[in-house]
Amino acid sequence: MKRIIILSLTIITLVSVSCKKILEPETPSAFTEDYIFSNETDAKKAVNGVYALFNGDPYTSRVSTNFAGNTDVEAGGVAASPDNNRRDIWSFEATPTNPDLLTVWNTAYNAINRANECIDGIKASPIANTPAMKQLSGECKVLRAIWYQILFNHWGDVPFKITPTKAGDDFYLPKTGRDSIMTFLIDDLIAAEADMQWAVNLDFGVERINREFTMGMIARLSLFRGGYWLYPDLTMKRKDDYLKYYTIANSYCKKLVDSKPHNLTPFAQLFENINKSVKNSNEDVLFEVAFAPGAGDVGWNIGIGVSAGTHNFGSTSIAMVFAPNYYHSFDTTDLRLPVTCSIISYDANLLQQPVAVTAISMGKWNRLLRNGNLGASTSKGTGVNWPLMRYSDVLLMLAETENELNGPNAVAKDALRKVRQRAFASTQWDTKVENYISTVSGGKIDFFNAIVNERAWEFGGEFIRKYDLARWNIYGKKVAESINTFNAMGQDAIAGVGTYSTLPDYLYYKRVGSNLEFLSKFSKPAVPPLVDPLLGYTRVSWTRSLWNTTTNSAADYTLRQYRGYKDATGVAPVKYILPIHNSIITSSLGVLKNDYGY
Amino acid sequence: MKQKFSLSLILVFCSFILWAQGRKVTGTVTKDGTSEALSSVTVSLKGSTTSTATNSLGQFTITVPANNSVLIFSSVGYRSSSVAVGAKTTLDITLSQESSTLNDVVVIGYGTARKKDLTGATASMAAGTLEKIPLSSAAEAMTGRLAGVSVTTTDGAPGAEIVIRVRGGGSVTQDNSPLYIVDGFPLGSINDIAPSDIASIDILKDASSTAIYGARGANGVVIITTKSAKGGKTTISLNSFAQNRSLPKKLEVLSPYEFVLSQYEYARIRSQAEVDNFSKYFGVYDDLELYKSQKGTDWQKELFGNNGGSQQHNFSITSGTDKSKMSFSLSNNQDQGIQPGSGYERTYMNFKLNQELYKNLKFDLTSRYTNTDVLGAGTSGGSSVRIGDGITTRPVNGIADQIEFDPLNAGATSDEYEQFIKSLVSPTELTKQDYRKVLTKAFNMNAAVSWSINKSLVYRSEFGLDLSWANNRRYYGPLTGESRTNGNSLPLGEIRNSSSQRYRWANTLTYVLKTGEHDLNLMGGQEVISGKLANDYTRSENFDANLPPEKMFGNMALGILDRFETYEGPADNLASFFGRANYQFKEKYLLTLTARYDGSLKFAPGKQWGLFPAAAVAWRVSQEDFMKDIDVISDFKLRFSYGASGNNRIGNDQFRRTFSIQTNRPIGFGDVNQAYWGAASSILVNPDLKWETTVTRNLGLDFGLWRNRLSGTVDVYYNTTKDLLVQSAIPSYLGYSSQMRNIGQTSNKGVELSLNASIVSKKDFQLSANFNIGFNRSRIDALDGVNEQPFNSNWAGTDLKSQDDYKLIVGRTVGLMYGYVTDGFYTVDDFDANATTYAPLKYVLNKGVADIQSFMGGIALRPGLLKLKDLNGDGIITADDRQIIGTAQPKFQGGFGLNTTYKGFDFSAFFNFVSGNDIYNTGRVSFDMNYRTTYGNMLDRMNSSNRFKYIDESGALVTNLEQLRTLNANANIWTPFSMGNASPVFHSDAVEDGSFLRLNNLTLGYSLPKLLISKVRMTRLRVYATVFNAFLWTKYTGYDPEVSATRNSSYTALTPGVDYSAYPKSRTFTAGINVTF
Repeated sequence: MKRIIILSLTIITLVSVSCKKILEPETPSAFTEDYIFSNETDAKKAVNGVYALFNGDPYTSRVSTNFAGNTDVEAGGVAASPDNNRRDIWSFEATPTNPDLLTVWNTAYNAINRANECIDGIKASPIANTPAMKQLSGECKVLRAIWYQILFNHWGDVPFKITPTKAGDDFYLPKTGRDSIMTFLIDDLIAAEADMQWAVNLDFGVERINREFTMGMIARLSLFRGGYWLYPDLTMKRKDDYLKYYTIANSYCKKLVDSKPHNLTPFAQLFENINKSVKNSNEDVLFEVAFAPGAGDVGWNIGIGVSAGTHNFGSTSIAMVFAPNYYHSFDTTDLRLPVTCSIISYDANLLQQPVAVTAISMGKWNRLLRNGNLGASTSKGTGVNWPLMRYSDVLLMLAETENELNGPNAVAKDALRKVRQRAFASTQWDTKVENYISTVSGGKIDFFNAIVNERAWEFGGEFIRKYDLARWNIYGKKVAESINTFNAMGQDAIAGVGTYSTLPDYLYYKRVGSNLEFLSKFSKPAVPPLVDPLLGYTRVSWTRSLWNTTTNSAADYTLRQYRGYKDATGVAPVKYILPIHNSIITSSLGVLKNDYGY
Repeated sequence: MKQKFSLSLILVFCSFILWAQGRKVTGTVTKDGTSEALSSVTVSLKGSTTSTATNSLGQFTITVPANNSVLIFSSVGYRSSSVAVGAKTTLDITLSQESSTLNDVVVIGYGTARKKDLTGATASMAAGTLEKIPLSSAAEAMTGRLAGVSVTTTDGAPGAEIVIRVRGGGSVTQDNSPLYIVDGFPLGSINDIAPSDIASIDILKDASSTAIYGARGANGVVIITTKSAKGGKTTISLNSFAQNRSLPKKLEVLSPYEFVLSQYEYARIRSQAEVDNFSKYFGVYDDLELYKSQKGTDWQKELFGNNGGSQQHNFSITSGTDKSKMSFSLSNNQDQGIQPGSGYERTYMNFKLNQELYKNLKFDLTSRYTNTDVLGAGTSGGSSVRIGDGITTRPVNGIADQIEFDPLNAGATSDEYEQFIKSLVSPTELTKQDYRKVLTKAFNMNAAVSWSINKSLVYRSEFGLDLSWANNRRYYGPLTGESRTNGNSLPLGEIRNSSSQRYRWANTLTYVLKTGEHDLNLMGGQEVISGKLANDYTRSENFDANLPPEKMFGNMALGILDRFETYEGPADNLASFFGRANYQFKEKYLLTLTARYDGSLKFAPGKQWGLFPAAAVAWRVSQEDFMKDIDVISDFKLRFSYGASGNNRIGNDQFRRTFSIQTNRPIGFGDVNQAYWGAASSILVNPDLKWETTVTRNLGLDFGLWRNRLSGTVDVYYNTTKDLLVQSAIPSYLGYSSQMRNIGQTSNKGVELSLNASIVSKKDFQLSANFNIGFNRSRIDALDGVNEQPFNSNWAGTDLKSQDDYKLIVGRTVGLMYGYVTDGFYTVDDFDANATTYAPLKYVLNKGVADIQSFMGGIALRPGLLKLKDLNGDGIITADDRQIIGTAQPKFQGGFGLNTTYKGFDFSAFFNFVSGNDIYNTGRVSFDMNYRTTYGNMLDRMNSSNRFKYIDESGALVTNLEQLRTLNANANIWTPFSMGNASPVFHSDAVEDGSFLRLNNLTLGYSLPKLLISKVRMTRLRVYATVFNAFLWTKYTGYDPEVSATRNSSYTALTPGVDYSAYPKSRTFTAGINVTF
């Protein structure tokens, strides 16, 4: 009996010791929150995780580029019938089963939650008050605002969450009004702004969210808050307190211009820099999303077309191009035109080829500038960064808000002047800058219209037009204008008379080496040249392809581009708000539903 | 025999014990009806503790005290016999084989029990069954043989995953695999066990038997016992077999002529430019007749026509004395798949030692080493080669097959030919470039000491360790998608190393008390399992295009390092206390009480421990007096059990937030990828997680009729699983789309029947049969607050129109397929002849005919298009026009077999069947259209005499309604161009009845006469031949209805029954030999 007792005691002791130890969940490869936010190095790595969500298809090849169509600037080709994919978003025909809607929504909230986790983690950290931690917290707040902006720009009122998700939370959040969300975000960034650092003082400059970008974001969010938006009853309205937000936007634009003026990089240089990954603080770009080689889709689904071949630049699969009327809206001497619009693409042997009038591509993005480090079979993953805001945007927001608050005064004109001076050779400043500004400064409305145009010319291919048009409540007008213009251009080209009959009905070109030489890019030559590929020119039909001569009606292109919008007068609002994906509606247990007639 | 038995009974009753001077009795025990000596037969003196055992020649010597002594001869599998010694000094005894399995020993967890003493529901398979069939895996052997146990091989690839489910499985999203216990050690899979080493497989099905494994017993327990040494003589056996595999069925594809015709038609429908393109490669329409004489490439044969042989060799020795017994076995198995370049090689080594250290102290040692090399990436999961490549790859290269073109003098046109020919990615070439090699080594060792403290108390301590290493090498050649999209079209390689070490220590104390009519057995114990996991991952890219895979893995530095990640963490650590009490009264009334208290690392402190109790009662009715007179019934036992068991099969650290360093798609500050801390779990952690519990109720009946010539078991059960560990969807605006929660409830109800019949049992001729069948109804009792939840099978990724093709619905079973209802095709009569115009071409539907518009993305609406039912009656087809169109759960499944021996010949046949389930045959969609192919082939179902056509004899496009009517008078299927080339639609035509009856194996063997072989010192020499998958009766039109494979690399519990690119099951011919010395 004695041995049994001894045995039992020994076993019980051994067992209880080992039980306790083996049930301790120590994992060498995982760290807990307390550790991560206890030092700056690891906290920064946690914040990198918020940034990381920019590097995924839902951002790179969906919301940052594709979701911004179709407008009078950026417009992607739409097929004969809805495809339940990105094209339905362009033609205002999206349905709640469109898979893109789900991935973008999920990524946005994923990023918001990661930002919330970091903001909370930093707040609870013993070193929360060091400048570096405050900067990191500010970065997260701006990142959160960027993703909320994506959400309310596309879905209107959405669930709003500013704390990290934890088990036991109420998971079934109703929609929060856009105005409340924006108000919160503006206040949030205003509070964080002073603690943030200028790009020059940050380790990765304009690739990290910095103080100047934060100011720009305050202004941008304020303009959205002060602008129009689509209500579920399909009317466009703005809040009564909108002027308050124009004032905030105005003061933050001024604050940046006064406290940290930036130089405007020459326009061509600016985009060459971006394509070549040259990053300069204190210049035009305030913040750009950083893609390492192998990541990012800039120059793959947008940009100058390149076909796969024996060369080392891989190939593009261009989704978004420019509307034909945008190309012809430029002053032909505008230095931004040749940078922005490309009417050539490159074939398998890197020979230039003309594009169709409906496929004018975005010259700002060009994988051929990647210095051959791409590889023959590459497609996506160009490594080109994606600028989210430029200093010229702040200048134009300053001009716009100043005009709205005080009319086209000197401050407004000066801001516009800075942008236009860069756009034209200094020899032309008298006519193209000074004279132009005086013509458009007659009144508030004229100046506003000039801002609408200037932002189109300045930012074409940067995918902010759609949201500007909505907040100005001129989206319907611009869509109708575009449709009518396409038809007029086509009809005039064929008839040979009319407003647009001076535009090239055909483009004539000849090959010089591997390049193309166009006879006249912007107007119809007085005498059409002899078309003979061997001796001289080859032609490609230009504005005349915007009219269907067989049926004597609008070209398929025109019929399809904005198919979901039916009002030829442009009075009806565009249903630019997207439906919430079915599976989100399902998983919300009925708390969320689709409005806007979806 | 009957007389002998009665006589001995009388003798037993009459005998009484007298102690007198001892004298020696010797004798030999042989098998009834043969001259075969029986070794290890226990010979005991009735009423005393004196006993001995027969040696290898069947001989024994025992000292008996008096003439009226009675000796009892017993051996497992034989009817025991009592013999009065009388005045005899030599006794020659014969024992007859027992047709009943009542005395079979069943392993029940930390102990064994005789079948007749069981109170729980179990199913067992003894070695005898396993021995006769040549198998390369233990799980394969179980297919269809055990009532209530479903065994599905996900596909036919060598080393394919095998899904075992006991009574349907309760969990909704968690792993429903049973717990595998091999010689006491819990293992994740039983692939590492050589089938030839297995002595028995026991399956515990209800809580009464599984509760002793508490924690992880909820989905049943599979206990495998490997062969143990026997004392006595030395035995050497050799078992070898060779196999040949072949593809039993080929899907019929369009002939070269039909193929070009269909491609011409497709081009013609689209535009003249497409026709010009077509003609460039395949010639003009008038010349297409020439293809009638051309024999195309049979890609199915190219891809799956490898007749590579397989072989398995097993060598084993057992030897020992009464006090020391050892056995050693070595097996080698080489298996080549029917796909070139696929196969595996396994080597197993197994050593067992049982040593009596002292009179009351025994030592047992088991060790096992397995080395497995699996080669080939297969066709499902992450592989680049798909079954579809065997179907849709174009059989001819058009004109290019006819002309020789010289690349040196290539003009502009031949350049295009080259492009065209290059556009054909040869599936066989792709197979070579899609290289995977997995090298696994596992070592397992268990040592145990049993100390008989006194007569009724035994203490046993077991210590085991389990080590495993895996080295997974993946090479992607330039033709693979991975290389093209992520690797600059150059080879890239990945090496994934993982290792695990687990230790187990268990202590049990067993107390046995037998007094009069009471029989009590108490067992209590404790167990801890602890260990570590580690893995690392290396990926390098941009290797030279000509570098062969073997060289790459030897020189990873030749490429550019893309990723290197490491991970270390704890294993599935567990601490437990358990106890069991068995009580019998008069051998009639049986009671079992079990409880286990388990602590798991997977839950938050405070929620780590769970208690799992169970109770069972049984009544052996046949022992009652009133049953004595009923001759027919030889055994009749009623059982009832009720109890709980648990499940903790979720990942570690799901209850607390941890961060791990991540490099997937990071931000690129400074043009450098910046690693980041991310949530280690992509699902929301939940500190409230606790054990999932399954409550089982089982009512069983064991019976034996006609002296157990027919015996069987019937079980009725009702299992409910509550606090389901469900990865439940939460609204995605929370930043996570799912959370692990204890929520909802599922239940499984069912009936199981198994029968064994010994039909003829004569000296030269024996015939027995067995049958089992299981009906199971699973039901989702409650979900996560919602009544429905959609799921995607993802076989076509985002291509699939309406991707949510599965649904979970409260009140129904798992595996409901959700899709459109096929409604034939649009006929000419569906269109309004008056409103239809031909220039421009515009077909107008009659009123009331559902408009599919361009919903499917194929050619524009016209007669001949696939028609779908407009379920909501709104006149147009949308995603709302879907319903449940199939269910993957079978109504019943089972198997039956026949074994017979006649003289030296033995013959066995085994069938298994599944009935009432549907299969989602993705081939019926993707092989009947040009899914993601350019100039791709289709199934023969779409040939020109079946499908709706748009071209007349001269090759011209027919648009006129009346002409279409005449042209398609005999058409019976829609045009294959109904769907967009990248947007397949799941409609009910693709749901097929998956019922089947399979002649699983057929064996004929011949054992040479003993007289002949004893001259060369052999005791057994058997040659045999087996056909596996010999015949299949099914209506299923795909390769094989026993399938569940989709894009994911592993079995998907929520979208079962998908046949997407499953590696076809092969038919195997085997010839083998068994030799015993």
